[in-house]
Amino acid sequence: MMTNSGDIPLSWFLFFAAAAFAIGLFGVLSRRNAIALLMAIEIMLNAANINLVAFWRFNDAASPEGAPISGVMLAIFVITIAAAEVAVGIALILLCYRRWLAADVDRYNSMSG
Amino acid sequence: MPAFAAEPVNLGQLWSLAAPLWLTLWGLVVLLLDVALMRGASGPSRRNRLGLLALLGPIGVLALLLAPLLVPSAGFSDLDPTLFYGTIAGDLLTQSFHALIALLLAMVLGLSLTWDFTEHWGPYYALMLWAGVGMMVLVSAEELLILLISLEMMTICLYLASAFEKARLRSSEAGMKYFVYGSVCSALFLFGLSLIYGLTGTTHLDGIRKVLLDRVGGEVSLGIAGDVLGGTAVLLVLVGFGFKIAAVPFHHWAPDTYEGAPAPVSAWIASGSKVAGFVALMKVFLHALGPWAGTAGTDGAGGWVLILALIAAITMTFGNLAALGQRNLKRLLAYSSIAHAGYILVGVVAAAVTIRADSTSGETAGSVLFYLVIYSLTTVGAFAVAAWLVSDTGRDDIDDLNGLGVHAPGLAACIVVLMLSLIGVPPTAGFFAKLYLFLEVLNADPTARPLLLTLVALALVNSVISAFYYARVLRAMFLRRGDRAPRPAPRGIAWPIGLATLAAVGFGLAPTPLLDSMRMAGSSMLAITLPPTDLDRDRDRNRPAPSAAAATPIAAPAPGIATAHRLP
Amino acid sequence: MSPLQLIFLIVSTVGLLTALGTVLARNLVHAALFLVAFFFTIACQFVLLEAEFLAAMQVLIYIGAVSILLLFGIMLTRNVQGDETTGGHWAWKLPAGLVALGVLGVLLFGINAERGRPGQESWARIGSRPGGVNPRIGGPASHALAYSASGQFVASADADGRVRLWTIAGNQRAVLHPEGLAPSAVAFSPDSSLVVSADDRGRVRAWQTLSNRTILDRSGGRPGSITSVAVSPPQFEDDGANLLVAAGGRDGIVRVWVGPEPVELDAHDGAVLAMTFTPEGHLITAGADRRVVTWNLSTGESTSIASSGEGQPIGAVALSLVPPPEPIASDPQGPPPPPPPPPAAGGAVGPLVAVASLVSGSPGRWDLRVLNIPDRAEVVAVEGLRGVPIAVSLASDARRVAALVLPAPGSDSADAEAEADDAEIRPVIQVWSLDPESNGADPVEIALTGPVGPFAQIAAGPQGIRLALAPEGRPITFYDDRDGAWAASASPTTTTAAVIADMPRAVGLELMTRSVVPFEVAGLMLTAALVGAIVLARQERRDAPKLSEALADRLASGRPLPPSGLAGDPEPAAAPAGPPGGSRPPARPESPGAATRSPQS
Repeated sequence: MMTNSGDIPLSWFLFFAAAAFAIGLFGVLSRRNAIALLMAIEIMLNAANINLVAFWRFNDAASPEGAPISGVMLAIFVITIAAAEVAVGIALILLCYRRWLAADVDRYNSMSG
Repeated sequence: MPAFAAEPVNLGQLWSLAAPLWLTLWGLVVLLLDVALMRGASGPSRRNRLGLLALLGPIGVLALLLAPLLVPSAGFSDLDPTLFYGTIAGDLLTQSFHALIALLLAMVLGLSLTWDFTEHWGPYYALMLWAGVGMMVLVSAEELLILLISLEMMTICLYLASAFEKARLRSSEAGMKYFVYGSVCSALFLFGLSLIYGLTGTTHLDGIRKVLLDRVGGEVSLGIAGDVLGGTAVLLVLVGFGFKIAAVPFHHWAPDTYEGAPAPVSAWIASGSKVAGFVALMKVFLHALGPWAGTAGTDGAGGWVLILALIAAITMTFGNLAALGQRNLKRLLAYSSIAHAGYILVGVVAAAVTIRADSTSGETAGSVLFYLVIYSLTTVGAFAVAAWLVSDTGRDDIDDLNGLGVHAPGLAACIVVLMLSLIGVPPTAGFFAKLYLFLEVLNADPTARPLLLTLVALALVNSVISAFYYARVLRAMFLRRGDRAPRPAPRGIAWPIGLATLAAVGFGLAPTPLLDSMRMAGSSMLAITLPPTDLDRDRDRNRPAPSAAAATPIAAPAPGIATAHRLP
Repeated sequence: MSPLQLIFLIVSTVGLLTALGTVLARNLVHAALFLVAFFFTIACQFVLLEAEFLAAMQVLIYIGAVSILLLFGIMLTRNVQGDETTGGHWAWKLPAGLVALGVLGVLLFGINAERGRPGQESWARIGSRPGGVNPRIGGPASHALAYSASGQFVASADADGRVRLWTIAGNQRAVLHPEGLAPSAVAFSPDSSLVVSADDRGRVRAWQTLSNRTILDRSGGRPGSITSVAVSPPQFEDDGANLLVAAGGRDGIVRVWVGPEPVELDAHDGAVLAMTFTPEGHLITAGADRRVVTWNLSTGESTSIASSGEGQPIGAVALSLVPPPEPIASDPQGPPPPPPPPPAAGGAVGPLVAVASLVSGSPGRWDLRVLNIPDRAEVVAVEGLRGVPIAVSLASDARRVAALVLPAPGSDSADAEAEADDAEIRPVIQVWSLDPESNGADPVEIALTGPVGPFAQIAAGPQGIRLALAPEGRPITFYDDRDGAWAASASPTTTTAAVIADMPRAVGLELMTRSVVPFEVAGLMLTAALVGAIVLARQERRDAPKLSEALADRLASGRPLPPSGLAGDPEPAAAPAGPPGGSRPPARPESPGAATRSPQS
C-alpha cells in the first residue's frame, strides 16, 4: 500500500521536462516575433518547474538544511518571476511597437556603432 | 528534521539586511512623493528635487553601515556568517559590498541629476534604488532561491530603466535587447539550477558543496568528467552568469544596451550589476560547485575550470579587438567592460585552482574582489564622461571630446587618470588591481601553472591592445582641435568623476589597506559553512554508538568565522 | 502499465504537442491558445506530482494572468509586420532545431546515465513520498513512539511538530501542540496518566492523558539532540509543580527538572538511549556506554550495572515502565481500565532492561539480553541472532520483548540480488516471551508490510502482542495479535482533503520563516515591474507622434534601415547558430500604407 507499483518513475517527469525545455529553446532560437519569444521562454520556465517539483516529490533525503519543500518554494517563485517578466516584456514590446510598427526583434536596429 | 519546525524569524537579524531594506523603503518614499507632491512641477525641478531626495537612499545606507564602526566596541567582529536559516550571509564581504554598491548608486544618481532624458523621475529613481536592492541581496545570498529572485529583481529593474529615455529610439531598443537576452539566459540558468537542486537535494550553497564532495568521492581532480547531467547543469548556470557579467558568448546585448540606455543606467549596469554578478558567480562556482572544478593541468580530467579559462581568453581578446573600431564612447566602454570581465575571469580561474591546492585559500578571491572595487569605481567615472557629453551636446561620440584638453584641463586630467587606470598603467589603482590579480597565478599549484601563465600572457597582450583604443580618447582630447568651448561639467557629474579619479589615484598610491580587507572578505566569503543541521542530527540519533567519541555536541561553533580570519 | 502511467503518457504527449504548436504556429493567436493548453497540461503534471496547490497556482496565474497578458499583447501589436513574414524561414529553423535536438540529446542521455549511478536510487525507483509535507497516504511520519503501561494508548512525536495520542487500534485520539520545535522524544509516566515530550532546544512539556491539559511546561535545558524523556508519576491530581521530568540526549547528559530550573547529570559516555522513573522516584537511564544507572535523585547516589559485555557495542536498548500498585482513576467516558498486569512469573518484577548488542567481529550477528535491574538477574539471553537490530521494546507487563531487525548487510548478497523481492530480506519484528516456561522458545516473527528506515522505532504494549511501528519517513502502523494484521493509522489527516490542504499551510509557513527574504524581494520585484511597465507602456502625448512621423518619413522616403552588421552585434535575439548571410529577413515590403495606418496618427 505504501509503495504503489503503478506510480510513475521520476525519470519520466525529467524526460518530459527535458523535451519541453528543448522545444522552448527551439522556439527561442527560431522565432523572431517578440511575443512568440516570450511564449517560448514561458515554456522553458515551465519545464524547469516540472523538474523542481519532480525532484521535490521524489527526493527521499529531503534537504539537509531541513527545508522540506524548497523545490515547491522555488517553483512558486519561478511562477512569480514569470509573471513579472511577462508584464515587463509586454510593456517593452508595446513601447518598441509604437516606434517601429513591428513586433519582430530583428527590426530593432537603430544603433550601428 | 521536522517539517514545520522552523523557528520564527529573528527580527534582530534584519540588521544585516538594513541596507537593502532602507533602499526599498526609500524607493517607495520617492515614488509616492513624486506622485503626491510633484505633479505640477516642471521636468528639471522635478528631476533635481527628486534626485536629491533619492540621494538620501545611498547616503542613508552608508550611514547605516558606517555607524557601527564609530562605536569602538561594536564592529564587524560579531557578524554571523549565516542568517535567516542560513540563507543570508552577514559577513565582512556583504557589509563592504553593500557599502560599495551604495557608493556606486550615489554616483549613478549624481549622473542622473544632470539632464532631462525622461519625464518619469519618480519611477526612474525608484527603479534605480530597487536595482540596488537586488544587487545587495544578491551579494548576501547563500541559497539558490534568494540568488535567483535577487538576480531577477536586479535585472528587471535594469531592463525597465534602460528603456526610460522614451524620446529616443535607441533607448527602447536597448531595453528590448537587454530584456530578450536576459530572459532567455535566465530561463537557461533556471533549468541549470533545477538540475543542481535535483542532483544535490538542497538549495543551500554550502549544502550543495557537501553533497558534491560526497558525489565526487574525494576525487576532486576528477571534475565533472563522466557526469553528463552535472556538466549540463554547470554549463546552463554559466550561461546565466555569463549574461550578467557580459562574457563573450553571451555578450551580444552589452554594446547595444550600453550605447542605447541613458548613461547613468549604462553606468549602473556596467558597475553594480557586474560587481554583484561576479560575487554571486564566485560564491556559486568557487564554493558550491567547487568540487566540480576539475584540474587545470594537461593530464587532468575536465571540470569547469577549463571552460571558464576558455571563456576568459575569448572574452578579453574579443572585447579588446572589437573596441578598437568603435566611435561611440559608450560603445567603446561596453567593449572595454567585456574585456575587463575577461581579466576578472582569469582571477576566478586562478582562485579555483589555488583553493583546491589549499595554499592561499580565499586570498585569490580577495584579489578578484579588489579588482572589482577598482574597476567599478573607475567605470562609473568613465561613464560620467559620457553622461557629461550627452548632457552637453546631445551626442556621445569620441569625436565630441575634441579639444577638451584645452578648454577644460581639469576635467581632461581626470579623464586621463581614469583611462590610465583602465589600461592598467602604474601608479594608478588599475595597475595594482591587475598586478595582484595576475600575481596570484604564481601561487597556483604547479600543474595548473602552464594554463594560467598562458592566460596571463594573453591578458598582458590584451592590456597593450587596450592602450590603443583608450589612447584614441586621449588623442581626441589633447591632439585634436575642438571648435566649441564646452559647458563646464555640472556638479552632479563633476563629483563622480572626481571621486573615481580620487579612487584611482588613492588606491594606486596606497593599495594595501583595501587589498587586505578584500582578502579578508574573500576568505570569509569562501569559508561560510552551515552549522550542523537537524538532519545530520537526525541521522546520528539512535545510531548505534559504540564509541563515545561519536557523540559530538550539536552546538559546535560554525567554523566559518573561525577560519575566516585565519590569515597569514 | 498502470492507469496512472497511462494518464501520464497521455498528458505528456498532449503537453509536448501543444508546446510544439506554440513554437511552430504562424498565427500568434493560435500559438497563444496552444500555450494555454500547454499550461494546463503542466497543471495536470503537478497534480500527478501530488502538488495540487501548485496546480491551482499554475491555473490561476499562468492561464488567468499571463496568457491574458500575452493575448492583449498580440491584439495590440498584430498584423502590421508581424511574425507572419518571418515565421516560415527555414534558414533559421534548421540550425535552431539542430541546437535544440542537441540539447535534448545531452539531457536525455544525462538523465538516463544518472539513473544508474549509485546513490541516486530515487531516480530509478518508483517513488513513494517520504513523510513530512503532503504524504499521499497517512499522516506525517513519527520520530518517536511510546506505549502506555496501561496498554490503552500509543503516543507519537510527529514530523509536523505535534504529539498525537492513538488508541491501540490506530484511531487518533488527541493532537497535542507543543509550540516551538517539533518534539524528538515522547514518553508516558509509569501510571499512564501523563504524556511528556521533549525537543532539541531543551524544552519539555507534559499533558494529562485523559484531559489533554498541559500540566507542565519547562524550558532552559541544555540544547542538544534529545533521545529519550521520562516523567515521574504525579503524587496528586493536577499537580505539575512536584513532577520530576528528565530528558537525555546524545551528549550523554541527563537534564532533570526538579523545580523550574534543570540540573544536569553527566550520566553516560555516549548517548542516553532510554530512561524511566520508578514509582519511588528513582531515575533509571541506559546509555550507549553499556551501562544502566539507577539514580536516587534525593540523595544523589547512583548505582550502575553493565548491560552487555566488553566489546559488544549496543545496538538498541529499552527499559520497561513499572506501573505503581494501584491502577489510575478511571475515565468515565473512556474504556474501562485494564486489570493491573500480573507480575510475570519468576519474580522479575523490577524494572527490566532489554539490550540488543552487536557481536563485534562477526557482522550481522547480535545478542539479546534482558536483565532485571535490581538483582541483575538475567531473564532472557539469546545469542548469535542474525540481522541488525535497530530497535527493541519491552512490554510494560514484563511478558514480552520485541526487536525490529533489519537483514544483515552483505549476508548472501548474491542471493538477495537474485531474488530481490524475496520476503527473507525484508525487515521483521521478532517477539520473545519472557515467561520462564517459554524460555528458549523460538521468537514469534511478524512480517512487515513495507520497508523501514534505519531509524525506525517500535513500541510494545502489554497483554498480548501489541505493537506500534514508526517506519522512518512514513506514518505509524499498529499490530494486534488478536486479528494478526497491521492496521494503518486512521488519523483525520489521512483524508485527501487534509493532505491537499497540508501544502498551502506548509507554503505559508515557509513564506513566513525560511523564505521571508525572497518573499519580500519578490513583492518588490512585482512592484517594480508594474511601476516600470506602466511608465513604458503609456503613450506619451508629446514624444510618440513625433517619433512615428519620423518613422513614417523614413518609410516613405524608402531609405534603407541602417545595417546592423557590426562586429559583436550580429543577430538580435539569440541566434548563435544562424548563418550570417541567410539570416536577414526578406526585404521589408515598402508599405507607405503601414505608416498611414500607424495607431498614433
